[in-house]
Amino acid sequence: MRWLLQIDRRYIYIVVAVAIISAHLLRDKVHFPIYASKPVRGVHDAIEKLGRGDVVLASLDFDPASAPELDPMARAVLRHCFSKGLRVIGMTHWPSGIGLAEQIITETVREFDDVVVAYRIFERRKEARAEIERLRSLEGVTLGAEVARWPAATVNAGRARIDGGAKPELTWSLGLREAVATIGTGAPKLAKLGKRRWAVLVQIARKPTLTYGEDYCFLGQRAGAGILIITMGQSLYAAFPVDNAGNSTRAMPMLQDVRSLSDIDYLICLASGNTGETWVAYGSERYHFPMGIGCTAVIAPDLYPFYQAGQITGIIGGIKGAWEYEALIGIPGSATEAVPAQTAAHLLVIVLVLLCNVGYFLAGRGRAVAS
Amino acid sequence: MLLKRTIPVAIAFVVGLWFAIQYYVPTSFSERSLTWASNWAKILLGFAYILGLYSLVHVHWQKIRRGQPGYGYSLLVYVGLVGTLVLGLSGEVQTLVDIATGKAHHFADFQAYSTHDKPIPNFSSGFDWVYNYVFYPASATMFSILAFFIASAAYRTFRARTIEAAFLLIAAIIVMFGRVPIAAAVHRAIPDVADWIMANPNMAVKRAILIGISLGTIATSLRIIFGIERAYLGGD
Amino acid sequence: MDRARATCWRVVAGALALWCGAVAAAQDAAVPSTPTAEPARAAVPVPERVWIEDTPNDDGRKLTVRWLGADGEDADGVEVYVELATKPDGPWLPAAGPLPARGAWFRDLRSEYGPFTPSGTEAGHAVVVEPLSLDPIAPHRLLELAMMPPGDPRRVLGEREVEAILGKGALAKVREIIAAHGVKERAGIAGHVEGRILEEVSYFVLERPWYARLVLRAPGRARRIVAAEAPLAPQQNLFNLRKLNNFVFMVLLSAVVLIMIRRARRNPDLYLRRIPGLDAVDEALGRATEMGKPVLFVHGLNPMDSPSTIAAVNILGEVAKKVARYDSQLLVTCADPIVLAVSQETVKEAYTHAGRPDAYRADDVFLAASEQFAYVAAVDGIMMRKKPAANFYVGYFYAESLLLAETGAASGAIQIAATDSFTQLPFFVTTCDYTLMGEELYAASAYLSRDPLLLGSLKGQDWGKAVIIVVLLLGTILASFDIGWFDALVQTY
Repeated sequence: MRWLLQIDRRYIYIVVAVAIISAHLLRDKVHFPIYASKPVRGVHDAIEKLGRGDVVLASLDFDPASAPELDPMARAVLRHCFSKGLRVIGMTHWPSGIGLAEQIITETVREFDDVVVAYRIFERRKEARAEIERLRSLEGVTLGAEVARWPAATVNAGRARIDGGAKPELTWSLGLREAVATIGTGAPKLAKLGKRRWAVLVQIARKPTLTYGEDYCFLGQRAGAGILIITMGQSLYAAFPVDNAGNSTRAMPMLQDVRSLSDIDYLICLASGNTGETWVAYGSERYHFPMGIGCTAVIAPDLYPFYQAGQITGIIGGIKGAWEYEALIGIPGSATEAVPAQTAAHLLVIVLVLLCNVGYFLAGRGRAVAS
Repeated sequence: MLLKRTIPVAIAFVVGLWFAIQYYVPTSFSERSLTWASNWAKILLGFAYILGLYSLVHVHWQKIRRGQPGYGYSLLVYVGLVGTLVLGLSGEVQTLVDIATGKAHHFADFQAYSTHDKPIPNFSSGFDWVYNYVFYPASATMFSILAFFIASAAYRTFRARTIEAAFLLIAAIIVMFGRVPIAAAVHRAIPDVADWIMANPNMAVKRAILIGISLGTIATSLRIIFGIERAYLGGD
Repeated sequence: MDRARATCWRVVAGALALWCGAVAAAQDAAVPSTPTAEPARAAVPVPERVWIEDTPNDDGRKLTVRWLGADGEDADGVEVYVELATKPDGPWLPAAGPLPARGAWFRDLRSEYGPFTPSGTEAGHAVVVEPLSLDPIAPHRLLELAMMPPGDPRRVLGEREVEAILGKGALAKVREIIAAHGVKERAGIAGHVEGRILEEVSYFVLERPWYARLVLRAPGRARRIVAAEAPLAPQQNLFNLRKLNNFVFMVLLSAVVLIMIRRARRNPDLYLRRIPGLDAVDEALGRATEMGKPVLFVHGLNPMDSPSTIAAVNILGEVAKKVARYDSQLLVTCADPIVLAVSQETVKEAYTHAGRPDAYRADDVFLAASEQFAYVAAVDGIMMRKKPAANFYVGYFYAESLLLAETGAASGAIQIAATDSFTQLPFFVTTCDYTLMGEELYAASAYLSRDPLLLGSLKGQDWGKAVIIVVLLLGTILASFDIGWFDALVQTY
């Protein structure tokens, strides 16, 4: 049994890779019961309690490396905020996270666009696919003439809303949401509406419902961490004279009544490092605003003291936390897709630990120690 | 000696003492001194980056010059450095040209977004391409290696050698299992037990470590303020 | 025809609105020191007394408006608005409200006053207001105002010259415009110097008296206006009493550490428990020398202002001295340029101290990368190519800890980690030969150098820990018996 204790680490790597990849490929086949832990509920409920027009500061303090864990979380929280009509101020402390944060905010905002789509319903996926292929081969003008005869509806993916006609055949589904959120001009999309119902969508027009500078903004990044937070507590305009695109923050309509951190209604910090703690120490403790933290799973235990002391309303920890948040707002996102792979990895580590202990005891403890 | 020891120690003493007291003084002068010091720190950091860049460039240049094994990687450092710099600057230059020729709005113009026509940023500039398709996947790859390393490290070291280790092992398995959604399906109590372990025994130990760390930090700060610890000035 | 009628209606409605506005303004302008009321309708109750207090523990931005009474049964549904002005006759700027008149409440008071909330507050009402936060800020509005002739009656309600401290500390004469504007008729103060908007409105000289008044309103009842007794200028406070307990503890602990350092000077033979990780430093360096391979010292990611990085540099100094004596090669990787500069200087001094200045090479202490995972890639690459005989991981680490230490373990090096990053401790414990946990990181330089002064501070630390243990035990016992005063003593604000 000694071989059990001397397995080359590369074999373990292969087993891990196989487990994660296969679990990811089979992600649509597994469904987990929805369970939201108290810390995640803490963040969700605090945002749920806010009223229309309240201001949420989203500090997206992570870079691409930890994006797999924090990106789904950020999108879920932003979707929650925008769907409740809250105003969102985005920022980051990480220079390497500017592009990522802006991308997340912009893409989530786009989900809330009113998209006018022409659609046709099919009962077979094959036919719908064929239709898409046919449409793709058409010229722009011909495509326009073709879909002009189709029924049309205005769909808002973020607000889960369909307007159009007296009785639109287009029914709400997550497939529709996904398709509308990612649809582009001149590129037909396929959306699964339900059992044996498929829709081919063509975008006709797109109208943003959230306005930059009024409903959301992205301040960008400034160095200084704790000092920056103190400066923001004194004056937001002094800390960020201009936003990421160079617009004056003083002139920005949504910031007229948000002069300092004391004026925000909630802060959500999504951090892969200890920025969350910095926000507690320099921000919420000094300027008294409620806040919640989302973090990578490894950091989450660090934050329990703040949670227990009531300094933060909740913690969203890692992919599982993001999955719980997605479940709470009822919009599955990439965390829901990632959870099976994560589950597989956890179970595999448990099996490996058990296996090595079996080997350890079967080989005789003394000899194993000597080896 | 005066420049290398006495003056730095004096600065450390005065500034250290002031900022220890500053925390308790709420006047606007006190707040401003903090802002002032942080601005100085930022300026110093800016200059230090030049030193850092010099170190990076010099070390790798030496490797290339001497043809040391693995000097190809050093060449890659130069390619990455110069390439990203050129792409970043060219994007800025293009924007300035567009503004000058009236092709683009100046973003600093308030009207640009008050008229609701702020274009959605497209991630198509060269710099963005490097960020999205080189930096992003490379960083994510490094991070994801953790999954493999954790499995291998756990396999090699997590053995119930003693009673204490056995307790740790059981706790670890409960927490690991409680952290996946399937646990709630097996039994509703498992995630709660995992949370309890994290919030109580785990927290108690962490707080103890944290108190020790805080005391160590205070003692180190005092040693520096009073000039007893001078290793940061380069030895004693 | 319809259009003409609509226009006519609009004119009539406009005239009506103007007339109503004029009446309200006339009412507001006459601020009596005694309550005013309209006899025709049941009036809302008035407070017995309204006065202003300086808010303690602040930088002179806040005032506390307090009042007694107006909270009986007849105050049901009454809303209180607090308004401020720089002149006794206005213009009045809305500062707080609507607040319910009934019930005793101390909005923001506890967080401002801390444990020293004035006695008698429980019986009355208090609200903290921030006069300077009333400025409207929006520059396009200010510009618009600045363009108008100084006495324009439509927008500008008043102006004066005040002295202001600008952002850089210079004194300047500032024309202050008090203006009402915007659809909600919000009023505010705008600072304006030589046609340029002030960047830091908050740096106004604050010691200027403010007048306050309460407006009590209820639907269907006549409103009442009560002016506060006397104007008051907010004061800057020299000490934040909310942090008093923190301050006492800091002074006590510092005193203990300094006393112990003093005692150590007289009696240098202090007992120090063994730290196996530090005893192994010599073993690791010896092994590196025997094998003819370098020693790798890996800094954490935190910058120089982090205590763990300072501790790491202290340890680096000691390790470098030993390496110089052993005549081995020391490689130091940094992620922060300031840490790099300090480390280079430290290693250079250490080599000089050990009598081997010639052995120091600046290129051996280098910036590997400033991004987290680029740093990992660079350091891991060095480990796999150069195969150092000993790896030191010292400082504050994040997710990179296991990536570094596992690669180091695979390369066969003897590994010593020292970190106060407790989330990463498990990873170092499983992959390194020795791990210095938490405070051991801070004790390491004292342990390695055996400098009595440094050892004395360790002793002080232990005394501090003893005090904390006593406080914890006492707090637990008192809390178990539901005795609350102790809780108030250690409360933080």
